[in-house]
Amino acid sequence: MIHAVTPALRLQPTPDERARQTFVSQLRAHLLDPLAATMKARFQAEVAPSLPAGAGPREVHEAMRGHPVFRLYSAARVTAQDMVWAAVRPMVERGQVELARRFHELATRRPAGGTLRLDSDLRLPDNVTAVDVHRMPGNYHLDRGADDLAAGALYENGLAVFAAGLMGETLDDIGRSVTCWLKRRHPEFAPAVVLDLGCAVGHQTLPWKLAYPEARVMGLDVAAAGLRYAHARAEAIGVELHFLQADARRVPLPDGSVDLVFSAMFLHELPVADVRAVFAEAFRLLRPGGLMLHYELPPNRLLDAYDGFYLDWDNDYNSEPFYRAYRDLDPLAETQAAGFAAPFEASIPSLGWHGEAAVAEAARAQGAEASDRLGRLSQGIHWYVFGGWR
Amino acid sequence: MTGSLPASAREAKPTFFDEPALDALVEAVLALAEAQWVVRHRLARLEHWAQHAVEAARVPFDDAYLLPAEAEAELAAECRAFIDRLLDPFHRASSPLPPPAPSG
Ligand SMILES: C[S@@+](CC[C@H](N)C(=O)[O-])C[C@H]1O[C@@H](n2cnc3c(N)ncnc32)[C@H](O)[C@@H]1O
Repeated sequence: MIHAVTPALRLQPTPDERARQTFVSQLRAHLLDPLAATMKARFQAEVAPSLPAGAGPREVHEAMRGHPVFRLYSAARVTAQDMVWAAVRPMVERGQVELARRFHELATRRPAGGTLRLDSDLRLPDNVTAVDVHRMPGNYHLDRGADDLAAGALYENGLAVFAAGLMGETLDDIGRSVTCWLKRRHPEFAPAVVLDLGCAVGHQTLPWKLAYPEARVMGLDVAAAGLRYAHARAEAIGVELHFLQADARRVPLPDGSVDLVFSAMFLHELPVADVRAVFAEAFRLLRPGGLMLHYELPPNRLLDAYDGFYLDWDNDYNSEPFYRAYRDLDPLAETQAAGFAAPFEASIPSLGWHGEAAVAEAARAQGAEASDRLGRLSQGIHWYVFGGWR
Repeated sequence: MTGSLPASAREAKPTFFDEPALDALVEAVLALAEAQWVVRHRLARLEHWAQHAVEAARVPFDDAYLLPAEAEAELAAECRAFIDRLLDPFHRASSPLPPPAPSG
């Protein structure tokens, strides 16, 4: 049920490892749905009545700290997070020589015609070097030289266990849902060049090429091992993608050379100053009439105080130090301040959960719905997107 | 590409209880549950293999040691039920007593 990993790069777990991965996935599924629901119900019954009117996510956090369900939920969630990586690491270690071989073969043959451009002189940003984001040992940028794919493999295999099926069979539900939505929302928009910032192993990059087969689709990230994995993955699947190692704040592409700048789950991993630098860079890169579009965590404005607190949990306990400050921003105001016209936001029902008709209906709606399924990884999720036009 | 990967995150593990032993205990209970599940799954595979071994004297171990998809699905449901039972006390943990009402 959890092995939604690219077939050509799939690593073989031992039968015991497979059982272990299933357990961790199911443990997370329980924490994110039934136990999270209990925690919310207990908050409403036992904590909310004594909160002052107008209390925000921080006050909810303070009030919940001593609650036994919060403590048990949190201790179990941190443990489960570490178990995710531990359940896949031995398999990645065993498989790394074989992965290097497969990468080498695919990168030499390039059956889909995609490219990979690495820059060994790139200075890695502090937000990447200073933390092991979501407690992933070694973090994204772990790189032991030519042909090393381990960090990419750890990420994809870990994500498959972590997502517990909630991000789609092939972990690309965000990309599939967003492209499906955009094609219906703006059928006249046909980007010739698409750039996905902070693309990691390219899960959400690939759907753009499927949606716009004529486009040149590029993925950009600072992490080399993830990009090698992304390149091998796209070539193995047979989709032409172009990957580039660069900092999203300083993209080595000319002014006005891109039609769509996209990102998924990227901005909340940046300090606020870098978010603004990325918007300015997107503005520079886009042609007039081009679109900047991001999938992200929803802002506080669309959530009640409890749901805001629930999302911010990662900031305090899951090595996501930029989460809260990012969520405190108003994405529409930031988009406008960067010079974009007609800033918009939307909630897109997960294509995998709700189907195409629901996405098509969302494409006719105005604005984003305010609800607790927005951006909360659990059954029936809706993805939050925002953007603006150049 | 043969070296070992880092085993844990650089950041210290956050704790949640006034009594730190309780954080350790949650970790230990979940590790134990994970190990229990791995053994449970291994037992299911062995039973499956044993049944094959009886039916035909020579069955390639690898073939008969992997469970068919249907049995895997049944076990996945069993795993879910096991976790429901395991975490049931987490749902029921009682709240701290409210502060005593002012007397007089
Ligand atoms: C959560 S991952 C993104 C996942 C990916 N977009 C997806 O949806 O599957 C965040 C990525 O941002 C990258 N990153 C962080 N800071 C960056 C920067 N300044 N420029 C480019 N990439 C960056 C990290 O290396 C990491 O791969």
